[in-house]
Amino acid sequence: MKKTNPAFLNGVPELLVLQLLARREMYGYELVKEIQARSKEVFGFGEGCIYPCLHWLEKTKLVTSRRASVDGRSRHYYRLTPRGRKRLDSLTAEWNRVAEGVTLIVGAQHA
Amino acid sequence: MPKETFLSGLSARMARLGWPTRHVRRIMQEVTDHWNELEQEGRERGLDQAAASDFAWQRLGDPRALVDTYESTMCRASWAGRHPIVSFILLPPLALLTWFLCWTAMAAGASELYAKLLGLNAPDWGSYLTVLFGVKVIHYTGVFTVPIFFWWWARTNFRGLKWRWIACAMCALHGMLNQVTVRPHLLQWGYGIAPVEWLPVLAPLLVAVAAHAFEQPGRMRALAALATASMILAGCSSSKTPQHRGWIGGEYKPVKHLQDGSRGLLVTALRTNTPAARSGLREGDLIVRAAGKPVNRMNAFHQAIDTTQPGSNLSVGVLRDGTVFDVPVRAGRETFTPTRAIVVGLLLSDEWDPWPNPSFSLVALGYKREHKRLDLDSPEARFKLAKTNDKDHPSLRSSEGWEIWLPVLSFSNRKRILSQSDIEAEP
Repeated sequence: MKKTNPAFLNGVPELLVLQLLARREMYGYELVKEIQARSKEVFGFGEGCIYPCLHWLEKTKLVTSRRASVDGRSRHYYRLTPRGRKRLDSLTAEWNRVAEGVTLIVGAQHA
Repeated sequence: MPKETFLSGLSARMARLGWPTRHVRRIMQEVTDHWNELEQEGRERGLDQAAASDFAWQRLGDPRALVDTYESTMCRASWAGRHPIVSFILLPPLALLTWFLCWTAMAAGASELYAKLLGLNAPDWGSYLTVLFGVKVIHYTGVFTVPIFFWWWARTNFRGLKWRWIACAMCALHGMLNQVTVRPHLLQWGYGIAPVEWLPVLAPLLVAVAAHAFEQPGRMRALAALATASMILAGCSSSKTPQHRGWIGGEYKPVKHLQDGSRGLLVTALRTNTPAARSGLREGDLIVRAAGKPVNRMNAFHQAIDTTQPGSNLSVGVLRDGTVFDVPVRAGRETFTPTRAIVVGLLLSDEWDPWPNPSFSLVALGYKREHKRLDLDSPEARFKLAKTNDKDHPSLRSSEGWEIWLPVLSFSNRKRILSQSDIEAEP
């Protein structure tokens, strides 16, 4: 028997954050701006929600953070760990598989 | 919504949920930075200050919803949060059962070993050791529970979540249960709870709970400090009013009576000027009952003496030359003051006694309970008294009582014997 799919929509913010952090280290606001810019503002979420997600990723050691003072402001920069990179690979593969399945069904209905 | 309103709302809500301060500080730093960036972005878009604030607020989201998201994410992050039923309902009784089975098995194993090596009665020793191991563990956990409770109390002191206080109360209750005295004997199971032993745990909790009712950090701090001070004062204060109790004198040792396996107290030393000697007891007698109840441990005997009014008779059952008969002993008067102390400082002992009996000593941690009573004119007491400076009012710090020490703190409850006097029979 096949395992049930993980709740893939729950994994979406994780996938997006890991994908963006794979390129360079970023802080919360920068990350949100990047998500909005790249997705052409498809996602409408309270921007504060990025922080629990980041903290959770840090707690599970998928990202690390460092604190820096910029213009007198305390800022936390996040970057991907090797473990996070592995997780990103597996999430991307999972996402591609699910997206393919969804496209097949949704595409078939529209055809 | 202005920035201050947003941020203070967010911070207050997190504090109300009882989140760790470090975690709250981190989130506040990040959200504040985010707000500043958004405000700047708003101004760059040509908005005025108020509109830029509203823009930042709308983009960040409602503080309530934000905290709810944080809460659910943090719950999901821990194993216990993901499996609450297993961690909080199924595991605790299982852990308790495992603990109980382990100690029973160890005690049973030890009893078999004793039976083989020393030829002792196996079931007897098995039960005895089970209780002893249990008591040992209770004492060990007691030693650790009190400081853990204090740490917890200090940590939760500046926050106000209802469940934190309930957890605190549970912790205090655990501490209290650990202070329960179990008499490690087959025939006599009893619980003695001394309120003075609860005090260090109870006092800060009660005042901290009262302080919580005010919901004002300033007052809470003041009251918590007051609680600590009152706790220390209460612990340090010793009653200056002399108290009285019965006294019959003599030294005794619990022994097993060989013929029927029952227990009694052997009179090992008896000076002639004690009420016990005057009433006809002799060295070598075996005391089997006092005030009509069987006596097989020092505790029971001391209890019988303590409850006898000075001047009245205590009926003592004595086994001498194979026959048991009752001797009425006219109790004298012992005057004493209880001394309780809390000592702060680095406390180390040169003793190393991890053997499973109710007392133990591990250099920096220890617990001692002594039942031995001294007669003021015994050689040991006279030697101790010779060192006191006040010759007019000699008082002996009795070894009877308990003492518990942690690396930096010690609590003790002993008695200072002022006088022992025989009350002559009325003509």
